[in-house]
Amino acid sequence: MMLLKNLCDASGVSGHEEEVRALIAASLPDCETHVDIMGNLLCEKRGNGPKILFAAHMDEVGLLISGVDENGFLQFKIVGGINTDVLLGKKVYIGEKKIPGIVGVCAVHLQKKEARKSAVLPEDMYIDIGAANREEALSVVSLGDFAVFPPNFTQFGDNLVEAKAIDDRAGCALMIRLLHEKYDAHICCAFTAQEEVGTRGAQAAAEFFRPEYAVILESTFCSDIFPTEPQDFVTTLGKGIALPFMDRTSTPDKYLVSSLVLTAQTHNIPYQRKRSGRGGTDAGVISRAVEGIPTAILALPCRNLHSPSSVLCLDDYENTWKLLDAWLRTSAPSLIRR
Amino acid sequence: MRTLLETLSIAPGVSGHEEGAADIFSALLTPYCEEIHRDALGNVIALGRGFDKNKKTIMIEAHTDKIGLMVRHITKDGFLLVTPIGGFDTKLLPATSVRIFGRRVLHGVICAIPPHIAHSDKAPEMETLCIDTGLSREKLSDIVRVGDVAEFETEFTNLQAHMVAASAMDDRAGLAVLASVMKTLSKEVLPVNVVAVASTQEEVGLRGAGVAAYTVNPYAAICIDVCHGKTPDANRNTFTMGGGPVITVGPNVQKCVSNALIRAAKANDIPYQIDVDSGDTGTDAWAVQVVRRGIYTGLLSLPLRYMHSGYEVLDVTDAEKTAALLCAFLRAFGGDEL
Repeated sequence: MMLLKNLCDASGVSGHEEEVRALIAASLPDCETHVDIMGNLLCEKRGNGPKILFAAHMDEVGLLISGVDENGFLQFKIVGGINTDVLLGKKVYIGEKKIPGIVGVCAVHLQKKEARKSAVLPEDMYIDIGAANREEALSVVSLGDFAVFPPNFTQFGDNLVEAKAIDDRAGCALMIRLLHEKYDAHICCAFTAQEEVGTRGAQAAAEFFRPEYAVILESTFCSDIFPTEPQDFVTTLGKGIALPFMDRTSTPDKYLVSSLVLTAQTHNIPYQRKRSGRGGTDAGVISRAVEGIPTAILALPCRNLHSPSSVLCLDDYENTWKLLDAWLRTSAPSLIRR
Repeated sequence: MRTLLETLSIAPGVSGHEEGAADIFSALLTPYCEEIHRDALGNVIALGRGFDKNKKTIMIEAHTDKIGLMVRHITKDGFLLVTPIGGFDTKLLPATSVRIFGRRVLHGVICAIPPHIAHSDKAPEMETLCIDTGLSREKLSDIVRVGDVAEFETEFTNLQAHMVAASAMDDRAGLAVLASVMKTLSKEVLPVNVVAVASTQEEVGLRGAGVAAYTVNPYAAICIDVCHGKTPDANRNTFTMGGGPVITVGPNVQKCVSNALIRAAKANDIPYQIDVDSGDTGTDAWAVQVVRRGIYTGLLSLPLRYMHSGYEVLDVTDAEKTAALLCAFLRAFGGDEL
């Protein structure tokens, strides 16, 4: 649990994955590691079985400071996909010094009638760090600094966790656990960079390893909340890992997916089908890398994805671990060699 | 002042449920007051030291309550549907952590639809927002009942220089000023009796302060509340952060009182700003002024950014300057000037 907490609470907006990468590197067992040009952290534990690449991304959505006005308010651009309605009134930490700031919005009392009913555009938002003017702001913040949501890992309810960056630190945590085990398969793990800005890191990782198969450990949206109707839930929290069959970037390999499903069924591990074709993952570029790599996706359902308060069910997390472990012990060794 | 602000900011107290904050305020004032009591509406009435029935009584007042949410329904899946208590900007609510005051305090998250599923150019409607407690309806029903309240769960945060960000600075900043004034004046012999009042239910229609004013029956009353600080999206009817207390002029206050406040500020080199308000100031001053046969009333406001959000930004020096002005006014008060 501490591993997951520390990973979620660490800062790593796309292109600034250093802190997360250092934390992961410090949590790894003895294995071959390499940091590539894209910033991916690549780890390998050789075995005699099929060469399987696991991938989870280190980066998270966030903000990039793009300007400072004369009164010391910061302008920003959004890195990755964030609905602006989760930004307003939230605290963020800016830069490596983690300067606290508040995403400001004109008080409701002063808003005109139409403004009260409309979403605020990102270009109309600003961050208030309490600086008196531009000069004071620039003494602690620089253009190009990234801003992240502050650490807030909290356990609540029936084994749920609220945190920022569950997407995809949960996947990273699972991969670290996996590297601590011993399997017959030749295990390659890619902690990838820049997934949230267009799955930029994963291609280089796939090229480096040239695996026979790839399994992406991701977090996916879960809309099983009021007032969504069940047909629009996409995934349901607490009902196990979700398997996509087609999404915006990839078509998971049928043979690999059925191997995973069979393992889940044999070991009575809950899983669910992802009921949507939306969303994209590192599977897109990895499945098309080298000469084509059969790829599957295991996606953890996550409420309020891409917000400061995403919600994960720890039962889903543990069951995913059980599935991965069981699959690597029983089914993976007998995958057809390519 | 910073410590006072923090202590008061984190105290619970949605309108009608002010007991927690009222207890803390009473405890802060106990060493400096002759007598403290709580009336039928929950107002805290604290008599300063050395009460003399031959002296005129001045009431200094701020409100205890903060805005919040009230549970109106628990869905079959265990989500809490809520209705606002006080003025809310629904744009601030998605992906926000809250504390729910049921039979015990519960952690909850207000749900947000991720950008992958929906992007709306409209502000969310209160009717479609729900709180996720991570519990089933069955378990939840034992803890939370319809009518229970919830409030923002944010941290007191020090920004640059003198600025702090915290929830309910409206009007815990006012309470902090009162606590500071009562402490300072407890060692002095004053020309007047001072009674500090922490009123209830301001945010739902100024319901407490008038009743307290009736009981105290003061010759004059000075209310302390917040006004809007300047932000990039609000230039008109906003005030300079750090510019000192804002003295209201207009029909809601007697001119002789605002003039006395201005004189006290000038005589003591305390910077101040003027708010010209043409009618209802929306503060307890509106209720207090017409109590019994009328009460001489003044209003001091502290500039505050992002009023009614989870992170309201205040300049601590404005609270200090307001306390200094109030002390100066009370020390100089002869009664004949009104």
